Amino acid sequence: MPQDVGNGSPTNTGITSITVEGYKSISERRTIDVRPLTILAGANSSGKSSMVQPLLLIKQTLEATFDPGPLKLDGPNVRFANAAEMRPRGRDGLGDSLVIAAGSGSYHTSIEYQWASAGVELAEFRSGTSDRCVAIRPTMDEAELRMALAASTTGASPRRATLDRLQIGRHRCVLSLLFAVPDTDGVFVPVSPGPAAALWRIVHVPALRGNPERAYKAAAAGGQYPGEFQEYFAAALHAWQEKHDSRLSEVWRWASRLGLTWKVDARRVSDTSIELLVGRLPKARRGGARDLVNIADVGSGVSQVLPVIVALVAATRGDTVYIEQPEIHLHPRAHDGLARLLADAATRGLRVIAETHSSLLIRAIQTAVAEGAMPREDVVLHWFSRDDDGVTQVTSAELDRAGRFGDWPEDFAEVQLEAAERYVTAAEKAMQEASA
Amino acid sequence: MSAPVRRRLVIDADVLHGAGDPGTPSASGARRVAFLKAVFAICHRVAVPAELQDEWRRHSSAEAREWYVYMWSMGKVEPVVLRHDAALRERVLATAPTRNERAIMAKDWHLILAALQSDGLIVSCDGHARRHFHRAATDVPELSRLVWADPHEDGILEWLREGAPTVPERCLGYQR
Repeated sequence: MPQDVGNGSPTNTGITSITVEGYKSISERRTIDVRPLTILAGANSSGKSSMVQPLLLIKQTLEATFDPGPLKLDGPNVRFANAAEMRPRGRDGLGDSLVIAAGSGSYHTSIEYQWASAGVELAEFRSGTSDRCVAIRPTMDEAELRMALAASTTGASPRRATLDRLQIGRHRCVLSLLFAVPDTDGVFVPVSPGPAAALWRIVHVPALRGNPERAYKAAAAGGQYPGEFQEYFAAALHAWQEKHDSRLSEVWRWASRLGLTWKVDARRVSDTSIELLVGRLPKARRGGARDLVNIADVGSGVSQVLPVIVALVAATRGDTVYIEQPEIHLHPRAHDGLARLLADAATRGLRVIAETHSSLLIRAIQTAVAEGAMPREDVVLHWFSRDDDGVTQVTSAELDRAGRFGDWPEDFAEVQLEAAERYVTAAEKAMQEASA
Repeated sequence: MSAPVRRRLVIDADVLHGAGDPGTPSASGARRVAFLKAVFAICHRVAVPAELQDEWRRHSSAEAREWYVYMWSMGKVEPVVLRHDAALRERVLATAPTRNERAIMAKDWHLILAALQSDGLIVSCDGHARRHFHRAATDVPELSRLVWADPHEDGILEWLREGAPTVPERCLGYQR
């Protein structure tokens, strides 16, 4: 695991910034701020997912059960057959490198890859704080290694040791300076900072969350969630039920507020599977304790939104929860409750990144800020668009105390008013023709 | 290219009321929506006194309510606290030949006052009120430079795109 290859950052602030360059439509370097609640919006294929997918590539590389090389292209979170599929075509042709970076408070990790004839090669790993950052390249010579070592102050300090006790180690996508402990048989200690801890604490709730199942696979429901989160939500519910954990009633409360169900009952049907039963009605009523049906027998909204609720309730301070389209299959009336769920998670210390096409969800977040349910500083909005060359552009906005986002180029209003104008023009014409 | 001119418009509730509902050529819902859309897209602002905001709340169509929320979200709504001027009001209302006309002018007085305290631009579908204030402008010079535009007029969207200028032919004091 990463701890073996470096001293990961001690911070538990989660991810506070993301930088990407050379990935799909993000051919030029783009950096976004990540706040407790970060909204990514914009047209289809404008680059919203491309801003976060590189971090998921790192996640699946670090979490792989075998060494997949410096970047696992085909994993549970992101799937490519060839690296060329993610290589951007920028203004000046194909890009030379891919840069993936994340900040966590004052701690930063940046990984640079070079495109190779087959896949990608690790070109540089950089980690640390702004005043103490170590950059390691696989091609470093002795003098460069010495300089990199001088820049490192963390971990064991073999400053007086001879350089022949130093070597560059690679663990998946992480490069580190390793010091061979004297009089041991091949024991190495990392003496350079490892990747930001926040990088392997990403909880990923994808847009496609699977069909409702009669029974879900049992899984470990600990504090870490490799792969996609929907693999764990049934197990988490079952574990909380077994332990009388208050988080179960928290899930019920949110499910009811969203108008989905008042109760979720997780029953182990075998050593490998868990059945989820849900209350048929959104609110509890007298004598209805047994009025439960299998989750596969109710509308898709329940099975699609339950992983979102469970992920946000399960995640803890320092976790970054990335949710693609949290609103899918939800009736518009539920978008306000969904916004409150996101706001509640953000105020508990999570970093929630939500990618959405819902103007209603954004409006409900504006309302939460205007009503004082969450601090305005906790929210940031990023609007994604592509310029004439197909290169992703990002325009960011904060909310003011009245929940206004100011000059943020969202196009929901334009789309909505255009639709209204077209409809009314057609309707007036039809009425005139009918009366002629 | 020079930056577009952005001015503050005072928009009567009747524009928001019919926006989005199929109407007639003379009271077209589509024209009103097109007008609101242009105000939003061109980044003009709206000056809204509390009296007007209350009317907007009660009379807006669903589409107009959406428009208002987006205008508000983007900081394009400027609340105006009206400074009342009883003497000016009386001078204007005194020009009304009948009690009925006086009542019509009194009802829309807040539009005049809000325009006087912003950029002098009123948008309304109320042709009666416009005629009365037009007549009053001959006796009350303060009104003569106020623009009174109707979303149904030809060339109205071009006027918005040109920066909603105070052109003489759209002013209450304009005499043919």
